Amino acid sequence: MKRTEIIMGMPVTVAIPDREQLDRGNQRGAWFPTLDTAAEAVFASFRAVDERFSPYKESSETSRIDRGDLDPEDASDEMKEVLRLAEDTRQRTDGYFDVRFKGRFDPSGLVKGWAIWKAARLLDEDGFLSFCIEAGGDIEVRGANDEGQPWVVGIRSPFDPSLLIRRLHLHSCGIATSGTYVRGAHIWNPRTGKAANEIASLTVIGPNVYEADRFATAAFAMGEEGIRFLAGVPEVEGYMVDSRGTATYTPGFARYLAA
Amino acid sequence: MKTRTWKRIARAAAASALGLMVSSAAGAQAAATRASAASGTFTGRREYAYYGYVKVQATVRNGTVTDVQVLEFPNENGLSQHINGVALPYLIQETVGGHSWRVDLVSGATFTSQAYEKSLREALQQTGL
Repeated sequence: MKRTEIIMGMPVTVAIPDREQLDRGNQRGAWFPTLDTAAEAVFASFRAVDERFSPYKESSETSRIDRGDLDPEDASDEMKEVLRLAEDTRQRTDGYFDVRFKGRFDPSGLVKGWAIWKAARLLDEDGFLSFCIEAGGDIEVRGANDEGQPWVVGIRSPFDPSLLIRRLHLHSCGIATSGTYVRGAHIWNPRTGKAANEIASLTVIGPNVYEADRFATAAFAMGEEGIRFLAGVPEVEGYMVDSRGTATYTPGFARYLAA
Repeated sequence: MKTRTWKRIARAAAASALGLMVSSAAGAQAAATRASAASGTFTGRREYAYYGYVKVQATVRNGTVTDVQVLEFPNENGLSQHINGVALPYLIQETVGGHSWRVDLVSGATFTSQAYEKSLREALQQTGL
């Protein structure tokens, strides 16, 4: 089963192998959510995150904090959790990831991965062992695909979005790709105040999509140095494509690459 | 370890080694003897320094080390390379192509331009999605 809805301004996809219904249903007995019910729960989770965190909704906590109408001290537990994670990320990336920039507050660079990770934990709690949740090119991968094999994930070409540059075999991890072709120059280098444009695409694989997303966002803002930064972060691996079509990747990324 | 650090260590080691040699001269005539005997160029043995080998050459005039040259310093190929004084981690490179493989999911952009993205977002806001 695979279902997609547009939430938070991007396609959100839930993929669960059909055998999960049979496997879990038989083992768990009386009540077990159908795959459709599970997908609905995921979409509902994303809508709630959007209500709370969208910088495009005036009533969201993000907008209210940005305007100064809401003190972070008085924000929801979820917002406080995101702020804590954002501060941790800011320190680990030497400021290259920062939810505050030029006087504005926007945690979107972290919220996407965090939202996927949050939804994945809902499915974990319901007993699903294999599934993928994707939002805007970031994916939380669990277990195995319909064929019982590691999930086959393609990296989209930054030069031709109808093509793929690489194919990966992923088991239980998170993957995030930052790229100039997604929203133009939407990731800012806080050092220069200008957009980070040198790199066409940067893919990060981490223990979960939250980790992958935050490091992909920060590393992309570093330009060419980003892949070297990632090489120094033990829990993630990176694959960077420059505007000339040369890919540079960390040695640990090799184990995910299909032939 | 950076090359500059090895040079500093080498200089200090050479200076202390020569100091020992000079001070072992015994007797009341030590000062005078020192001044005339301890001059010239001395080359140390090739010593193992964990990452490689170091060999030092010292120039001495009147018992004072006036210059130290590092003739050989450790080669750090095994762990990292120093290029322009910046350490680079080991990375792999390849040229990317374009393929039409069948996959389960795709990581990457779903929209092709900033304008498209912006326009879509505005449209979605109107629909309340």
